Amino acid sequence: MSVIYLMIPLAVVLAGAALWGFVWSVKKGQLDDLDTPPKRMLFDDED
Amino acid sequence: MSTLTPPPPSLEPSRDATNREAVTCDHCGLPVPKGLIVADAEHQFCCSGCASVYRMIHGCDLGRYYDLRDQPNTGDQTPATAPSAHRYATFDDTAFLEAHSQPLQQGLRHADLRLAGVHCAACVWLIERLPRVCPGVIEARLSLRQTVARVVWDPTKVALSEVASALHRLGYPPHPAGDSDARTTRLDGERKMLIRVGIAGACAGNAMLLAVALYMGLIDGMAAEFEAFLRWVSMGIGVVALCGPGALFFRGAWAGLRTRRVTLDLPIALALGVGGLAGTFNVVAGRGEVYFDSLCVLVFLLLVGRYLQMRQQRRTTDAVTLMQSLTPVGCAVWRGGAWVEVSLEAIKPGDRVRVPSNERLPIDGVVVAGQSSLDTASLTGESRPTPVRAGDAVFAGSQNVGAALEIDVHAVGPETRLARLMEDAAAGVAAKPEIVRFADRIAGVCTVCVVGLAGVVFGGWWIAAGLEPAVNHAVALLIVACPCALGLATPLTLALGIGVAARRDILVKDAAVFEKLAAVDADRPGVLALDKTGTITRGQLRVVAWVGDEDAQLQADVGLAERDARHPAGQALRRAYGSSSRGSPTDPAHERPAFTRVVEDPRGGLTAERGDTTLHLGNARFLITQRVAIGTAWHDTAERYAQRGASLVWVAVNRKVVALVALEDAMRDDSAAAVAELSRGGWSPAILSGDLDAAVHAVADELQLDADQVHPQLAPEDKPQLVQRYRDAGRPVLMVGDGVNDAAALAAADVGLAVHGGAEAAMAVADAYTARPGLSPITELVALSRYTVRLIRQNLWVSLGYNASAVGLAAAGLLTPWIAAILLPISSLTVLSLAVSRLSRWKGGRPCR
Repeated sequence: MSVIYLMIPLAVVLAGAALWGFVWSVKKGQLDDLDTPPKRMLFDDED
Repeated sequence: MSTLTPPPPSLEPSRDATNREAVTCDHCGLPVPKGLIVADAEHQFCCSGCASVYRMIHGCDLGRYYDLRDQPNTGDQTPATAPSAHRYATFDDTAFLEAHSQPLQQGLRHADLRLAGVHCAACVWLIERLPRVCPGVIEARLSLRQTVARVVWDPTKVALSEVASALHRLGYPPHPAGDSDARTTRLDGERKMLIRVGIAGACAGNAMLLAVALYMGLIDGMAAEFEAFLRWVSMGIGVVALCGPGALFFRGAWAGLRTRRVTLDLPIALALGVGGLAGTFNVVAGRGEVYFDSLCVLVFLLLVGRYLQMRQQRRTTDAVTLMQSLTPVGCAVWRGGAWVEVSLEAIKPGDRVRVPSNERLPIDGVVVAGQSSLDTASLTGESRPTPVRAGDAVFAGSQNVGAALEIDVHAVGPETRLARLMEDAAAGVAAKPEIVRFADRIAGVCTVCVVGLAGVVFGGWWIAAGLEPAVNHAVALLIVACPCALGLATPLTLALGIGVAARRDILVKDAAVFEKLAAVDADRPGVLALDKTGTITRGQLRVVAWVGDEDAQLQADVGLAERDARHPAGQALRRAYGSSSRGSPTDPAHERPAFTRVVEDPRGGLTAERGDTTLHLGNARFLITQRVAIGTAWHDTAERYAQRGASLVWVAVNRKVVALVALEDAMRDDSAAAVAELSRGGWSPAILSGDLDAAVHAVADELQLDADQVHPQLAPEDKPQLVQRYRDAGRPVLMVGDGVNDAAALAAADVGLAVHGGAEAAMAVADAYTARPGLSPITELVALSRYTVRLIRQNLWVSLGYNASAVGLAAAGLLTPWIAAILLPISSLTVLSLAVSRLSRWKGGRPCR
């Protein structure tokens, strides 16, 4: 069971990485406008 | 707006819209005036503006726009403006580019432009195809929420003025989005809050996982060293959650205490603080409960509530942005012997400017040359254009509907009457007191109860079982009594309410509207302050009666003579009787030969000549100047219509009066019903209008209002004062308006509501606005407010029930941490699902319940 001394810190590091990704995307402004992109994706890319 | 009324056969005016088969404009969806219907044409347009926008969109192979948009307009939509009406040359000034755009790599620049007329997905599609319409534009990205488009362009290939006119031709007049600082600040705030929510969520999830392991250990047994390790990790996560995102609540509680105000932050901070300290102590000491899982969940759920609440709060508005939407960006100025087009910033008092027909005035001043009429409806609420001549003072924001005017500038920019009005409005919005939210109001009681109970429990257990169980049980009680459901359920219910309203075309910008509207009923009356022009009425003159010779050919002649009319009365005549040059062969008008000479007189009339026939159309004063006598036989009829506030147009053929046309700004169909409904619900109606006595009283009579609640001829500056007088008398005011002249009053009222078709400035300062014509959305909003607030109260009782039972368990010492960990999210979940299911079933209701 002493593997948890490795696994838990590893899990925390992974969670931290995911969280860092989230913070990065917010700071880049990817979540600023939640109204327009859902409509934009409905348009065909005809050009 | 342009619903068509055929000339009624009798002397009695008809108010009903026509039953004629409605032909709608292929671009804007409005009914096409009878005279403009082209019999065999594939497409029909209500005006040349719409036709040119339609051709432009199809010319650029962007016809898919018409498939994508939601649905054609149902009512008072504004048709597209003629593209020639605006000039954007000033967008190319170096000073303008410096102020409103930034350089990018490779010599590109980008600018943020606020667009008028953006409303649905099809607009996104069309605007983002700008590179195709206007070569040299690299990219255009639109934000629907802000209606701001970020345009990236190559200055070597295309000038910003050309980009701006391309947007204008598409039907979206652009203005520089000058409030970039305010938008950045707001965006930063929202991003920070979202990051807090994210961190708290991650902490809560991980803390819960560890807690499950620990609880399993309680049941199955666990080696002491593993247990200690898990407890330390759990504490680490908990400290991150409390000191990072959770610090918000401690700061809020501290700020509240310093100003001697109890907010919801206080009981929350108390639970978090005591739980965190006790948990840390227990981890270090190696015994007792760790509370970090519950605390992390608390922080997360409460932050979700805060984030929702933040997004519901209204945007601040500044006077400069409001001004921009109302005045042109430039004007012709007399410089060194010639008219030079300059940007607004370059105009100084003392300059002489020239305002062509159909343009808005950018400045305050005095007319020095020219004779014309000014449409000041949006500025003063007067439904009829006022004639102006040399020596008259004129104000920025009014529209020149007659001939060109030369004006000596007296005030520009922030010194104009319009700017001062907008400043009042912006100040009113900023000064609008935050209501003490329901949740904050009971926070004080909540804190006292919880602290008192914790004290009692602590004392009881100390005497009965010693210090340690006393501390444990008191801490457990403080945590489970944390008003989590209050902090989350209230904002969530309000957010859902905003969603329900939006589906009914009512856009609520500030959730406080619900609580304020629900506070009024028959026992606690409020004041429903209504603007007249454009709010109760349609804001557009319509022919209500044609008295006299009802010859179809004469009527067709009238329409023909007014073909190019700019005066609102003339436009109303054209809509009713007009025909286009492409008129259908079956139309009697088609056979009418064109007039050889048509002269529009700015004093309010028109002379048209064909062969030996002379047609005079105009008001009585104009007819007298043309030496046309009005017989005494007409006196009674004219008097009757004048008393109702109608505008009269006389029709004379060869200097003999043959007919009288009465024009009125007719009431909207649902106004009377909506006002009656609301007054039964405790809102006593009052009219605040800038229009003339007769017109206002005619409407008031139709609505059966008390004479002392009718206030005609108010200057825009008087409206907010009157609103304030009502408020000082202790009655909440719901102000409903549409014009620029209502903006300051909308801001001053408890709830300001802008109606569909209103000026941008009115919508910007209002707390809510309707995207559907008429007053009936207001009754729906009031009903929805009551429903939502009732739901919040019900949810409060449910969550208090949970808290009470948990507190009972804690006091009895029966509350184990895992029961607390289950109870907490379940209580929140219950109130959430209650709110969702109840509000999604809301089918409307009556405000007078």
